[in-house]
Amino acid sequence: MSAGVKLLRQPALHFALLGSLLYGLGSRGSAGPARPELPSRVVSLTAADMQQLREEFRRATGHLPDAAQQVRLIEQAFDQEVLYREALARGLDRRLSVVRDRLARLGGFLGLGPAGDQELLEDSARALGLARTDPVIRRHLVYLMELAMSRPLPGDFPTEGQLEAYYAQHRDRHVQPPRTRLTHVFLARDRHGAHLEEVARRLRDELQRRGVPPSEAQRYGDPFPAGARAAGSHAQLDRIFGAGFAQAIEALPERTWAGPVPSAYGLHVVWIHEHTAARVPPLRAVRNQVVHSYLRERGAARREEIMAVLRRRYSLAAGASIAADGRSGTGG
Amino acid sequence: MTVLPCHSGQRPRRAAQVASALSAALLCSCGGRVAPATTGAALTAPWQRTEAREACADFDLFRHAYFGDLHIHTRYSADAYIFGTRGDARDAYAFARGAPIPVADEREQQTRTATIDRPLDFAAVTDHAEYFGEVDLCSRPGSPVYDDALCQLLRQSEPPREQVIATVRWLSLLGSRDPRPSLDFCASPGVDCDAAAVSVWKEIQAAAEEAYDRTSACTFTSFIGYEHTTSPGGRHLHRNVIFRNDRVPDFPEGHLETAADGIPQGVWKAVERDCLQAGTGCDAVIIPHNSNLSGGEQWLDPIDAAEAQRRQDREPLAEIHQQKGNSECRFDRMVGYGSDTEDELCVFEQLPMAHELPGTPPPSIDAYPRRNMIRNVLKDGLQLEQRLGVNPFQFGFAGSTDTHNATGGNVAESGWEGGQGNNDASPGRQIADYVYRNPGGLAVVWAEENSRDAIFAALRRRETYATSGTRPIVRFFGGDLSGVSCERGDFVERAYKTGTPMGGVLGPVGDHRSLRFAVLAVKDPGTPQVPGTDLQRVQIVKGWVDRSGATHEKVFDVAGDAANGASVDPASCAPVGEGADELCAVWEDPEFDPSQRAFYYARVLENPTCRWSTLVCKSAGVDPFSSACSEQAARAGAEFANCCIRENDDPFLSPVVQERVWTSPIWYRPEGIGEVTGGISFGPPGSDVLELAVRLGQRPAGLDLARHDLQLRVSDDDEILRVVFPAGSLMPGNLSPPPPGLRMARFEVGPGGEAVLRLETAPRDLSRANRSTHAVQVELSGGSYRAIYTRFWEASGDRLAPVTGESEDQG
Repeated sequence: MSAGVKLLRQPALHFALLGSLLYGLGSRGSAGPARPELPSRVVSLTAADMQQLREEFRRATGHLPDAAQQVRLIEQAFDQEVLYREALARGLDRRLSVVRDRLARLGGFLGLGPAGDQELLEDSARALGLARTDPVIRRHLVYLMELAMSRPLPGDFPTEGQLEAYYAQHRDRHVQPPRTRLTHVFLARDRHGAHLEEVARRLRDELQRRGVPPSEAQRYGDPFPAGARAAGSHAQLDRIFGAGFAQAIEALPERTWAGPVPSAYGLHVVWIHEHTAARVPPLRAVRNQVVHSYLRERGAARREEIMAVLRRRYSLAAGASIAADGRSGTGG
Repeated sequence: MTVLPCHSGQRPRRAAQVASALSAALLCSCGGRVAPATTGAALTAPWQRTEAREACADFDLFRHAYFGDLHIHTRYSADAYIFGTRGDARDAYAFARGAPIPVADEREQQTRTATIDRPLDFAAVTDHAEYFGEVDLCSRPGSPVYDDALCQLLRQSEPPREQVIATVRWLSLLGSRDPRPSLDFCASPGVDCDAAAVSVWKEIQAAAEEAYDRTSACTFTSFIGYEHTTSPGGRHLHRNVIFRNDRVPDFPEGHLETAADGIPQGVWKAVERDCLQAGTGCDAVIIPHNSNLSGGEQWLDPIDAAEAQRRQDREPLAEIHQQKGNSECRFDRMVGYGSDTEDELCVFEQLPMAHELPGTPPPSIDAYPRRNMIRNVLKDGLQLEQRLGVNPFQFGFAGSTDTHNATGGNVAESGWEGGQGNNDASPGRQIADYVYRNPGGLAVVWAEENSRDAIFAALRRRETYATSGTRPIVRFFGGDLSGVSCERGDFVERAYKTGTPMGGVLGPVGDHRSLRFAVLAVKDPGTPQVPGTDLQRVQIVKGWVDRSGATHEKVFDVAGDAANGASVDPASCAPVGEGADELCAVWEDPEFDPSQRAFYYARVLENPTCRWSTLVCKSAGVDPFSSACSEQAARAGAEFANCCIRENDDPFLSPVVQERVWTSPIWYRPEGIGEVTGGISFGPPGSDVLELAVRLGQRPAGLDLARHDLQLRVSDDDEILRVVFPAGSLMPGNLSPPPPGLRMARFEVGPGGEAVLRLETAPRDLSRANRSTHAVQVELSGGSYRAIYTRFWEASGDRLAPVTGESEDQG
């Protein structure tokens, strides 16, 4: 295959399928045809299961779970089992080509039929219950259910009104600190030595007396590579001039030559164009970020809503030793 | 000003249905959902706005220095994942903006935390595009290949020295010139590595969008990018692709996709096809890096002038400094000379090996591939220009980290967390196996504001400098520079009017008198916790080629004092002695020969400080300065033995370093545009007149006026005038009749071969030229010849005109 033309293998199909999955996901009774062979609505978690969860946790993090983490592990295991059973209830194991291929491959490994007869191999593997026991199929189904629950839907895209309301609720996330915009005339410590302070005061007085506008201030003073103008928050200004500079100009009056103000390099006679108070920017300026977080929260909320409904269909039967650490049942 | 329309941008070949249509819509910032920017009245930057955003409050025509990192890896890079990194693009941008993020410990657990005391102004996450999808599928428990052996290899936590197996098995395809298109498991039924790659690419774009400050505060700019990773025989021919805005290719083509089209022509072709020529408003620059590990192959001779020009256009910058070493120049102190240099300061942060083919010992300085070092490449570029008429290696400088911990800008020497996941996650690991590495550098741009368009334009015109991690602020200009003086506060404004900033190209000035260069630097102000270091001196590094085609270099000290006596206190590492807060020089090249093409860049050196390894060693109770170092190391553990490497035992390492800045070069071309005079006289509507005299030093070799059209273009952010002189029409003397729209055109060739093109337009509408003082570009092109001359033209009354020596303002 030519390197430049690796074609996507119809990923859209996956998503069309996911979309159809969502239909009825949250509503009782519309879960497709009854599957009499489905196990009960009790999720059992044995002490051995729990031991395995703890071991997996240790492998991933390097330490055993504490009590709270263990509760979380149990919740996750329960949720995954619920999603898995709901996926089976929807016949996903029969509809997804990934699962069917996997079953046929397992059938082939086990010699359940002639190589090449995909259908027979798949059916034979299914008859052995491999769709239930194979961890790869299980994880894949759980993953698809998760994806289906939390991915944004076209209807999720907020209306202008919804977005404005959402932004109003979360304005605190976008508050911008006070800012100052200034022009300055620099006097280098290295050049003026002991006279620095005196030279700076004289310069300030002269600029004031002659009414020099900031646009002409570059004619005075020593060259400063960062430029004659600066604008930013206190933190930004301190990054340019050195710590303490922003605080020193905080109280200076606007639109007049003031200072001198010390920096990491010398003294500055400063013209404050304006101090701007902390502000929340208009929605249009942060719109993309706000839409992103709106959709993310919307997806997370819907996942929780659907999950809550699904959870209510099942109950947890946990071994005695687990119940001592964790919880004995879930919201059902 | 132009705001590009929104576009659907999906080529059918890679229809990106994977990410939902919603996120595609989100990533497009147009559609009227963000207010278009309005810059302050009469302020024209020399670039077009391509995105919708608020205007920046700090916009300044004379530019600010912004500090960034254009080379950051996260968990989406296969090697970073193998090393235990789990931070993603969102984490990387959060880190760059000052938030703490977890980083892997020696066992790949996320138990450590890293943060920077000064946020960056801009950053690009540049994950290895190869295996975006594979890494994603292997790290997602629901994926059908999760249990594949290769996936398990990716995820498993193993001691650093055993990781080489996983790294080699994953990355070996990158070392092939004719690689398979993907890893084996991508061919399994139901496995779609391309689709997974697209979804990762969309995640990276979404993370960049969320981090980008489109408000007038302009606090942070994120760039979308990726690394194109080609490593034939362990030779790093790696390149970062940095996109101008959110209109990017649907699929980031890496080595596996482009190898068949050549190295590096394949990545150029992909960027040209999927971005520059896609008609989507996409724009990109490509930044090669780690030439120090390229076995001399990062920059090979172009086949012809066209390829030289293509390289110049595609690759305006090179990364000169990063964690895996410095690439400026190399000096071996054990033998007393360097790779085509006598510059002893080139011992700085050198990696011993010349490439990463396992099992090859580091070469001697004589066997070292000279084009691993950028200074040599710049010299060779002059030589090639002499032959081809075009300089293929006309690039400026960027520094970056190349962190594989998602920790862009984590460059402090003190308390460095490392940058390679669990490989250098502990003091012992850092010293035992990574002692030649360093925290990496920063990329600094001179831009009007902190926005994507402004910073990208700076990258493209090479108005950038690199630092080894600290933050001095440095200006560097070249040209006529009349009136530019260290004694005058208008140094910067004047220099933009009478010269070119770093990254520019000069022709002969005046009556063949020497070029002048002006450099102005202040030290890194530091923070209360970590004060900046005083400056020691400013140097100008000159490279040139003589008539015989031989290349030369020379380093001039132009400000400061090499013998200022500053050092460090070996007990505490505190600085001893003083340097300068600021240094300034206006320097004339005493050896200037107008017939010799040359480049000049400024190197600014700080006073000595303790190297990061010295600080790590001292914390472990091993003092590199102590005569008891070996005994201390023996007590601390075998892994600390490298703490005691002494200057007379090693060609490069030293417990004390001088952090430094490299400005992008300014080039001198004898056939460059030496001067532009004239200007625009604005009249009643529709009757403006532009007069120009464009002086070339010597007739360009690549331009045959009998065979080639010559085009003259005058522009600011818009095109002001374009005139084409058809082949054969430009004979010495007045052109009769002049080309359409001109009242007069005249071409003069002097006795020394110098040429002057004079023209005057008929009265016409030139109102697209902004009537305020701003940058105006004059470009001449024809055949393989191209020359650009940009100066700030001054607005005064009804005139907009370049400043000349005669019109010098003595304010």
